[in-house]
Amino acid sequence: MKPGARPRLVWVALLVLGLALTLVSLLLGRGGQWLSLAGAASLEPAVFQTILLEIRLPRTLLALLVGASLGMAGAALQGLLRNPLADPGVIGVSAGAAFGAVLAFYFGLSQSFSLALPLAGMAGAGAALSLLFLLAGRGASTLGLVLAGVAVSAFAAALTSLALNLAPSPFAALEIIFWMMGSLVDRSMQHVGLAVVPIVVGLGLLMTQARALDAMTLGEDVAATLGFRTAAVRAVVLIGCAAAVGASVSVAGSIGFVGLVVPHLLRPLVGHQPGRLLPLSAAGGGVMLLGADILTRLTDTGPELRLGVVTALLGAPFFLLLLMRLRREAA
Amino acid sequence: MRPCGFLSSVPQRLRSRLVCSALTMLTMVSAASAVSIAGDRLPRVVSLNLCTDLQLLLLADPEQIVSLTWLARDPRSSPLAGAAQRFAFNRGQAEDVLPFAPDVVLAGTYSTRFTVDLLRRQGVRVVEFAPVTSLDDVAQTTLRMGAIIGQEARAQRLVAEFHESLNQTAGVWAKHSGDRGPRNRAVLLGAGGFTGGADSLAGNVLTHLGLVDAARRYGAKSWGRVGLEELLRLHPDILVITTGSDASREPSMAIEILNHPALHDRALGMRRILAPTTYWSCGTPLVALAAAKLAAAAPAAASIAP
Repeated sequence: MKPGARPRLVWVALLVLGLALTLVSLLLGRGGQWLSLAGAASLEPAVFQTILLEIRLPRTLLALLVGASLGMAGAALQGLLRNPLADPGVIGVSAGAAFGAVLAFYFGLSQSFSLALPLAGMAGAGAALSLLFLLAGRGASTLGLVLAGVAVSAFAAALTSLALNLAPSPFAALEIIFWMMGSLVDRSMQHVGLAVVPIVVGLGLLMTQARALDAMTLGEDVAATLGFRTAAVRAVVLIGCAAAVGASVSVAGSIGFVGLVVPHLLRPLVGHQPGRLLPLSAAGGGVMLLGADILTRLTDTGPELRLGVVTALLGAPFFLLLLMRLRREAA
Repeated sequence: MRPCGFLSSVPQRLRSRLVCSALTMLTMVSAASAVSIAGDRLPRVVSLNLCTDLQLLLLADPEQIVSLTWLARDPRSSPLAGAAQRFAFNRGQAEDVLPFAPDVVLAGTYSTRFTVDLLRRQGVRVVEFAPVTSLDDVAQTTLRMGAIIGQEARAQRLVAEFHESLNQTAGVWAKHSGDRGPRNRAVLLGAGGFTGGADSLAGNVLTHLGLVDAARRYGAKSWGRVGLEELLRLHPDILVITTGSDASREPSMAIEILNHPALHDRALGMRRILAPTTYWSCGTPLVALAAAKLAAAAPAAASIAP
């Protein structure tokens, strides 16, 4: 089969699915109850409008933006590190971002200066990524990367937990589940406003490195002879991931597995070219997270499922399959 | 002597007759009793709970109070913080109590369990007070406290004033009605979307004022959690915002919910009223002041077109 015919088909399928899920996300509420202006469950027009525009719309937009960030960041990191397990959640970038955001949020910085929240998230993500590159830089084995990622992740999670325990608000310690598992419940357009610029800039930066990442599949030396400065490529990818993931986590908490699953599902469809995988993973990540967020609303009793729980339920078996396949290939 | 001078932490409009008379009485009686106690001394008391702190400040002679909790002097949690400054404070531990050999120790039923057990083993008389969940209980608890500390007459007077004050606010929200009838469907909304129904003390006050618990229809009983979308579907006329006491107002996601733009949407016309949290977090006669403050907001709320 010609590569090129199928990607177009995949793009069309993702767009159609994305539009359909967007519509569902705007209209479907807790316990599978539809938003309606007529019939038994009808709402006053003003209430209908407020729920639609102030709650469902930001929720949907954030699912798409955060999903796109995680999907593309996963694809870019996997391309850069030439490592199939590089995912913002697995290697500790999300945990670092959560720590940064927690510091800014609970200790009052983001109250006096609201952009402090995404900026601190980005700084945390950048710090975690830098630490990771130091511990397991280029050419590190899969094992080395995962071990370094586990270390960074556990350290950042411990710091987050410590910060929440020391925070002045008595509610802070209870909110660790948001930062560890993520949620889009009751977010507002203010959160969209805070996150959208860094996410778009981050994704744009990653896109500028598409061709460089393609070249790097042939090895860093070959990429260098093709005129790509690997140090610069690495720096731009690092900054792009930190911006997109940092801003995402600061408004939605850490959500795992999206950056792992999506690139892997889509990679065979673009002939294993990281450059072409980037935009496709962004679209796929948005669709996956939106779908997962819709699933969280289907229970009608008790608190809503956490977004990270749903993505983990979908993603963890996939992660195991991936590990088994890697072992079989190695054997 | 300026009445209520040391009630400086209480806003002027809330220094009602109720508290003023109680506190003026307190200073006058104490001057007299200082002379007469020689043979028949009133019990000296340590309080290990904010709610018993407040009852003591309203009922006891200053000489009776050995120490109050540190919460009593913190204006974020105590409506009588100013009056509490002059007393020693404790942090609810047995070491804060034993050296002073008080006649009675007052404690809450759900706090300082180990301390209470330890004190009892040491032969200290400990009296426990359960959390108050209704206006009737407020009167009962106040009279009980008066009996324990030998201030029955003062407790009876305070309870009478409490009832008198409540009579003035009964049903006021139902009386002020706009073009479309009374706008009195209310939801009590705390940090994290927690809401108190009619079976809580706060809910009891709202019912007393003629407010209708809009969340009850949704199945929220005495305590529950209401999501933002559910809250909008209920579309109450009034949001009674109750940020707990103490440090609860520090930044957290739970507090952020209260400021969600959807709750401020003009088209919905939901009026926000800040609950006088410190006045009704404990079941003391000060609850009547909470009712008075909420009653004062009624005419303005009724005049706003939905």
